[in-house]
Amino acid sequence: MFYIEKLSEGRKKYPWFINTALPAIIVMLVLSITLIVYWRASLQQVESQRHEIVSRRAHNALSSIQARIITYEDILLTTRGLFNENAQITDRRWQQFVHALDLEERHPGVYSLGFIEVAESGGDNTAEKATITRVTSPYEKNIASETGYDVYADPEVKRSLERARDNARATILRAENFELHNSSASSRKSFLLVMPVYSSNHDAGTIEERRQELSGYAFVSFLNDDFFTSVVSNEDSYNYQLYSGAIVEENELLYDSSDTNEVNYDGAVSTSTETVSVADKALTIVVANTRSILSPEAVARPTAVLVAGSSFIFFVTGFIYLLTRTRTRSLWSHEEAKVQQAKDELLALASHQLRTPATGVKQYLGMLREGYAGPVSQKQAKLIESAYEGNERQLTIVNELLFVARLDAGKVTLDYDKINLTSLVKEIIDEQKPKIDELKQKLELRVADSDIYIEADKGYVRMALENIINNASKYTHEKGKIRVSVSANDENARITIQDTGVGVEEKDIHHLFKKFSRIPNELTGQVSGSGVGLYLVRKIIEAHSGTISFMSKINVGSTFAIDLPITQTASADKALNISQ
Amino acid sequence: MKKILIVEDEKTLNEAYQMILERHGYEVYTAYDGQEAVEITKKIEPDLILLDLRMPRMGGLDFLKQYDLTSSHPDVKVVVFSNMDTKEDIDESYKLGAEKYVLKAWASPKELVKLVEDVLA
Repeated sequence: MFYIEKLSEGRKKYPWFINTALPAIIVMLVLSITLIVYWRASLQQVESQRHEIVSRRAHNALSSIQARIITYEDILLTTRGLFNENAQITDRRWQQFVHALDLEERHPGVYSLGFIEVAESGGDNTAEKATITRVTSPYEKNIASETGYDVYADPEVKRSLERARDNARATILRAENFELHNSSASSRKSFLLVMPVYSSNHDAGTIEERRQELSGYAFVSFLNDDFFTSVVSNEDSYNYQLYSGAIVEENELLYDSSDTNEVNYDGAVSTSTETVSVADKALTIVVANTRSILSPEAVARPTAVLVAGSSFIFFVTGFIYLLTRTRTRSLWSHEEAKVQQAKDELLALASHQLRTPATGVKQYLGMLREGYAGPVSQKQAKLIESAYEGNERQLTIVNELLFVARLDAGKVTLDYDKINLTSLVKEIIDEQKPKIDELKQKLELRVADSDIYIEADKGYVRMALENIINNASKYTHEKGKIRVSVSANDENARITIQDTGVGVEEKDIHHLFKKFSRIPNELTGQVSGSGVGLYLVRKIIEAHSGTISFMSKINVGSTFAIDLPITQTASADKALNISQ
Repeated sequence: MKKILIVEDEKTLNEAYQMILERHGYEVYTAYDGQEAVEITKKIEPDLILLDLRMPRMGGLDFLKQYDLTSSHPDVKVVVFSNMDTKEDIDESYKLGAEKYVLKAWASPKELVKLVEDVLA
């Protein structure tokens, strides 16, 4: 019984959660990691996309700038051509030329166009002068008053121009160094693109030749803002910064579109930096998007991935968990069923094995007792009777143990029948009579006038009552009194068994109905019985939806009161369950 | 004289029942398992069979199946006499036409005789 008990306990402690949840947890972890990787990748992708667009903008802007400068170089080449013919040209010729160029319409970025004449003075190079001899602007009418200004006055400018002369290429200069514009335009930053002009038509080959043949410089000026604004497509979505040089340095900032356009950065920003060479200088552009330049779908994609992925993981995990749980449950219940079957077989076998020899003894002692081997003396009869009783007790114990084990296994079902309770009690008493008479105990039975019928399982009720009456006798002195009464009201039948026995101490009453409780019997000086008798009684009464109560006083006696309902409400077969 | 067939594998019990029933005037046949019971019932038709269930070679229920009580031998009364009282055995026994299912351990010689008398009445 103990082994069987332990198995039941083991069942409750089964680690359901770990076994059923573990696969799901593992899958969830793996999928989550994958999702995170994928999500990060798609975030990265959004970032790259954005950056690519911004880069392209930067690249395009620089290409435009380069193209524009090349256009201006073309103008200067044309201008050079003009002065190649003759360094001194007439005003009229100049006007014609400028007019033909139609700067305002065709090259709106060009602010002014002009020529610087370089004259040798006194054969001494250091005293060279470079004078603005021609300058025209569609935007400044009296710009011509600038003529006569010696650009070589500033040594930096002179150096740059001489370098351009030596390399036969255009150069870009900042106009701050020129006191070129007197008007309001002079407060605005501007550039000059300057190209050396040589007296000979063909390209002078060596530096010496170039120095010799320099007649002057052709130049165009353009205002930063106008230039850059017209080159850079003016959009709200981007911010452009242009720096002189190959690196980004704050004091080399030439143009910042946020000066003219108010910028509110909204959302994720990508920045692209590119450098290009323009004439003989490097120009660096920094482009940043000021707000979202990607389609909403593209931006939302990482979040969508995360949401969709999470939902997917949730459902897959849930599904796997349920699947595993179902499978584990069915496996386990299959296991349980096998264990239960093994238990049942063991029980059945054990009870069979225990009963068989005892049955044999019962037959042979019975035969002896009944005179099959000849007449039996009183003494002999007594001895045989003791043996017979001992054997009967053994059989009873086996029955009780078997019953308790079946209870634990949930294998006991009651068969209800309308039984005559009164006559059943009478029957039991008649059976117990011989033993009771022997102990010189008095057994009194009180019944109602008419027989009381109840709906119950006859076999089990008999077992219960036998047990109690037997107990009463066992725990009562010789010549003691046992009173059994059977009565009923509308709902219940009541059986009370009262004895004048040794009683039970208050502290022990609590244990009385428990399984395997053994309270020493003062009378016999020993603990007898299987210890399950009253537990059994309790279980049987409870299964019938009845109640059992117990009262006792030491050395006065004990009273059992059993109430059984007259009718049973549940279905005919009721299963007893394990609850303690 | 009524014929009783005792089918029981335990020798001591078998002999005890034989002794008891012969003393009360019954013609007793004995078998130690289902197989023997089959052979005996080929030769004689008992009025009552006291049938144990758990036996070697052929058990009580298998014997009943083969014997075909309800159709082939409707006048024969079978009392299943076993020390196992599992629900399955009880149900199966009644299904195969047994008159009663009795726990061996319950019957003293006197009670056995009374049982037989009641069934054959």
